[in-house]
Amino acid sequence: MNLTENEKLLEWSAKNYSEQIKKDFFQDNNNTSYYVKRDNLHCIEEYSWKTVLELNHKLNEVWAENSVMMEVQKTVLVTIMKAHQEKKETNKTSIDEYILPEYVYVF
Amino acid sequence: MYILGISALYHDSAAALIKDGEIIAAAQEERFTRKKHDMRIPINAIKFCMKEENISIEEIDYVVYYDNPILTLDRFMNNVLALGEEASLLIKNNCFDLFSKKMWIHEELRKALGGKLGKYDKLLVTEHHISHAASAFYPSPYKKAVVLTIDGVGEWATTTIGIGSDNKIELKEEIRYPHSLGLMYSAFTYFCGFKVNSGDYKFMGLAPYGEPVYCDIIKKEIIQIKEDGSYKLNLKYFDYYKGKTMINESEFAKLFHGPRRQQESEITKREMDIAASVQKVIEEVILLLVRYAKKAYGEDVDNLVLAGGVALNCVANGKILREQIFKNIWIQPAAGDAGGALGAALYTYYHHLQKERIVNESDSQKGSYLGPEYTNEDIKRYLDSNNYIYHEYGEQIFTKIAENLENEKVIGLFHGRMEYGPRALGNRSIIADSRSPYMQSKLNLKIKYRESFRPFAPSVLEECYGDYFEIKSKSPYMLLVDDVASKRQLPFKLKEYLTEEKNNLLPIVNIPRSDIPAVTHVDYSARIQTVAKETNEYYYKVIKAFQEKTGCGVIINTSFNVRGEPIVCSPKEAYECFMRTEMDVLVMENCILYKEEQPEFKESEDWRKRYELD
Repeated sequence: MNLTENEKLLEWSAKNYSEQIKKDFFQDNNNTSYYVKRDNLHCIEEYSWKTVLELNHKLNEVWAENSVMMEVQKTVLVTIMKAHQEKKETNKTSIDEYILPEYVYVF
Repeated sequence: MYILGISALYHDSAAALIKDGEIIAAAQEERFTRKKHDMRIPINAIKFCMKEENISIEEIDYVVYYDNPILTLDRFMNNVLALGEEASLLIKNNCFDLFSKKMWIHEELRKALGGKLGKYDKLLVTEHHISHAASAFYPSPYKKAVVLTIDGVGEWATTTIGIGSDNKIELKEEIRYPHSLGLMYSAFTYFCGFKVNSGDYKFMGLAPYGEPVYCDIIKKEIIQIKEDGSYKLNLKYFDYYKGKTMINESEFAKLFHGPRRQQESEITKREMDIAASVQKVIEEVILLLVRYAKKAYGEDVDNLVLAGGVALNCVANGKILREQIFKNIWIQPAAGDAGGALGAALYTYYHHLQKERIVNESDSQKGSYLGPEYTNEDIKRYLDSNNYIYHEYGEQIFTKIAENLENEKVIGLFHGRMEYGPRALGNRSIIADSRSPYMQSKLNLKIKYRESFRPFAPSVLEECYGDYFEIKSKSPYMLLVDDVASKRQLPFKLKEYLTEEKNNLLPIVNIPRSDIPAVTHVDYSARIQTVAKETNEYYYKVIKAFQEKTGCGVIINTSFNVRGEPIVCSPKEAYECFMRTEMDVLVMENCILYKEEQPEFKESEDWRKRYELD
């Protein structure tokens, strides 16, 4: 993935960042319990998309009602396509493909 | 109907094959590639599973991956957003993997499977914690059970609670990333100079040497625990969510009076005390989680099933059992990500396809002996072709093994199907006499080449575990810790041997703590494996013969490998490991090999350079 794509993602996060978003993500609250009720909408599903449109449709299922994510959706789609192409062309492997990173958890 | 489950691209890649709901085969990729915790697409494990049934990809009805990439992407993008301008490292370190591989998992697998994703050329994905939950519930001997999964992180969830009933699983509540018990444990593992994931088990083994003096600090500063077991981390101490290393080192250093321990440097009392404190906090949280799960979802349920990497914390598991919050517990032996492959396949068959589930009253895991097997003829062919000297026996082999054990020989034991999951359960094991006071340090330093403090586990005949241990339940998968029977314990005060100034652990492990000292940890605990004739007749006979000879029904069982090496899979790997170490005897099916009779063993490269220290 080239730097431009990284920069676009960073630009988006910087522009849309807010204290409330941060608070929501880090669950910065004083609730009496930290459990979250599950919706169980995605326990099992098909994952065989072939085109950008099909992937876009899958992302819509998760992000359709989130305007901030909708804003970055196109960039994400392009990045996914470009990254795959780059991997194919350069046969580039990630740093941790062969050896588990020593002190970093793999997310 | 065949279903192939796959875990990959995080850690401990694996494949599992089920046929009409029955587990046919399962194995971790690391065993074939010889790279510990191998995370790549498990092409070798997949091939093994298909070969086991002699089937082609066209005959597999469903291929299922154990994690949902869209939800992982969602979590990642939300993480990026929550960091704002500070997200650059997270983007830099994670984007390529996520965008070029994980999002393309269907294509990666299609390529690995020869161009087609099963009969219908479709990939199913299950949610990460659903995969864990399914791996715990469906093979369990229970019709109904409360399900608890705890690990580092799935897509969003890090802990889930739910209920399994007949062929259905419903996860009701979860705790979400970045708050994670598994990641907190790994963070402390890292701070104490061990590797994340592979070092977690060592860290647990270190805990009994320490005193839990940091408990209050951890609970005050690092983790906020609610009465219902839900928890939240104080993220100022962690860096993993920023795409950096596990912890904020300067904040940790302030709290624990000094910097992170460097790997392989001396272990001090501080690390021992931190290990003891973290273990105590983890146990407290897990017990609260279990109590809440019982109250909220299991008032009429006697059974609890567990999975997720944290469920490999056998000390905590032992506490759950002793507290008797649930009458029965069952833990998936491949509780980490490898087990997700099996769970994904089972969930598809039972829950998604709504197939009838018949509960096996012992369990359906088949002792977790689900990997490759080599016949006696295969082994002889290998030995003959290399001119290795061996002696072949019939039933007398068990007496011969027992004689060697009694003579304090260290034996590599290789027979039957390889174990699925991180523990060796007698088929790919190094065994020795549990009564020897020097065996723990001998095995650690001369055979396994690992840290001297690390304890060894006992394998005990199922019918007599009560004679040796306080445990009140069978423990076939070595996932429960309890004390050596009080009548067998010898007076031993750790504090007298361990002070701020004097913290060399080697002399301590040589002091007998019971009449089975080699498997008695410094707090009298033991990680017990009960061995039943019905599950593993060969291994049972080995221990039985030892008991007939010595009166002792317990032997040491440790995994057949050296430090940093995956457990051996094939006869070749077993022989090489045997020859590289100071192991005395190698038993492979009906063949016994003695070190002194073997031809000179030469290797073109130093094996120590091949396996990175874990």
